[in-house]
Amino acid sequence: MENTWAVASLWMALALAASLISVRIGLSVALAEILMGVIGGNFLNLQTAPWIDFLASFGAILLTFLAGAEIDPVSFRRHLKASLAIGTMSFLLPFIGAGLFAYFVAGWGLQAAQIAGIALSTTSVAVVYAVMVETRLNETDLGKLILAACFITDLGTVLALGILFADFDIWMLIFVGVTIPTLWLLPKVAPWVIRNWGRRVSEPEVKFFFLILFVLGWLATSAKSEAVLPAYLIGLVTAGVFVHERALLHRMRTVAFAALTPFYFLKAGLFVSLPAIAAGIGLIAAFLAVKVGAKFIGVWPVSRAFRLGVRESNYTTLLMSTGLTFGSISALFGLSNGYIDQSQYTILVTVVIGSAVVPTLIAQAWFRPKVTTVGEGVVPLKPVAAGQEALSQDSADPSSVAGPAGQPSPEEG
Amino acid sequence: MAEPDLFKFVLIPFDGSVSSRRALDVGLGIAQAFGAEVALLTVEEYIPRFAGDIGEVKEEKERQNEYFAGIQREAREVAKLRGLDFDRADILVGHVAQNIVAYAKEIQCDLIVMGHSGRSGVWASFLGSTVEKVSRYAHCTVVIVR
Repeated sequence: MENTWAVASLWMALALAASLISVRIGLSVALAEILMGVIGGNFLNLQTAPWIDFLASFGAILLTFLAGAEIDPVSFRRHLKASLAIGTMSFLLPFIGAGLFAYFVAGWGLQAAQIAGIALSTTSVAVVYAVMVETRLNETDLGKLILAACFITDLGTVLALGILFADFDIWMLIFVGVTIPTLWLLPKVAPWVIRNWGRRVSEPEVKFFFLILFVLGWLATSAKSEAVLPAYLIGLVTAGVFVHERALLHRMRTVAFAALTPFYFLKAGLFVSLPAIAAGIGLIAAFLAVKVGAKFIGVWPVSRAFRLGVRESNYTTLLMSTGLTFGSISALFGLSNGYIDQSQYTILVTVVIGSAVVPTLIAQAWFRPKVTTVGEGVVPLKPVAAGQEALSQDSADPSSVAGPAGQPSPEEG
Repeated sequence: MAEPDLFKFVLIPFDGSVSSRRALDVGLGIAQAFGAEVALLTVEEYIPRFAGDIGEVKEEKERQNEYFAGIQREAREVAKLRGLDFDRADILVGHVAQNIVAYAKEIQCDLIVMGHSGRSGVWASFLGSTVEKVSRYAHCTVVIVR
């Protein structure tokens, strides 16, 4: 029998290596861990064990919860209509498009096609946020609108994941019956818990949230749903609480990043087969084109309808085409439950990673709204002219967004 | 005697490295000699790209903001010892060379004074240094300090 500590040592060594690489080259630790998992699975005979599967699942749930908890409730309410419209189309069109493509063109079975649709419908809030930080667009109305729309897209993804494969039996009734009141009560109960039980070495408030996640995860999986669904919803409804409790969120993120999510991302990379990538490179490119194309069909017209400029609409659509965490969670769900095989999983995860990189690079290279200086410090341009009032009542910068097209870039050789 | 109007606005990219500290001294000296205004620019290069969690980006940004704000405070102290202060001091995020070039053009400086090597170490050797790129694309004179 394999020594548990030996197995743990190998996994943690890979996680540490990924961490150091990510720090050195400015790549996210998630992507570094996935790549380490690919190396581990293809060259080091890295395999999972039941305890690793649990830690990985816990990591995915906690990551999803943390993702939901990062929504800005104020800006979400302010851009509700636009973000709902853009976010819904951003989910729906790629979900349908990728699903139909997988079923009719790639010849995948129905459930595999559904997994493909879900995995490729996502938008990565984290990738989008990192891109916008560079231009300080995260501080503008346009940036906040895009971020809010990303949360809606991912809500669509987790709902699809949680509903499409669920059994509609007594467990589903129990799951829904417990989840809805929990979601309603938690924003009221959580501050009380933090105030009265919190700030102790034993971290009772952290354990409280873990308990909620575990119980709802148990009920969700009993109903053949997916535990990330209640996790994301809990994150969303308690986001307002965490606005004032950043330190608590930081502690939970520390637990996640140090001891849980490495197992998840390494596992996600572990099942990526390099021969399958080589064999399926055409299909990978096609799926990526379908995802980005579907996002354009869904998001671009809606962006223009809300009177974003052409450049801003292109930029918004490209950023909404990115995906990483939720896409890989969806694909791994499909693999773990036998809806897709390893080859299909490899193709989907590769497309998901490609969708994190390719649209981002295009958006940054050619469609980035221009940054300019106004008074002290450097501030980003607001969206141009017509319809600016649709985005913000307090925007006062009438700056142009004409970009330096055609000029040589210092990023090029 | 220095021609009084040769340089009116000096930009000093500064990342706290040994090389950039030397460039800071030279840049401040030039500014003093010509009575020029001085701008200080720091670029945060290592914000995680393609992140899996928005919190990873936010927390790393906060860490870097704190670190580089401290670096810029040190630079300000150095300037004060010469009886100077920065007319502007900014922290940007992203590709170092691209930001320096764009920023220099934006503020219409007429001189950039920078160290010949920064914090980019291994990648600089592999991909070409920041200084090479800035000197190639900047709109104004670039002085490289060894």
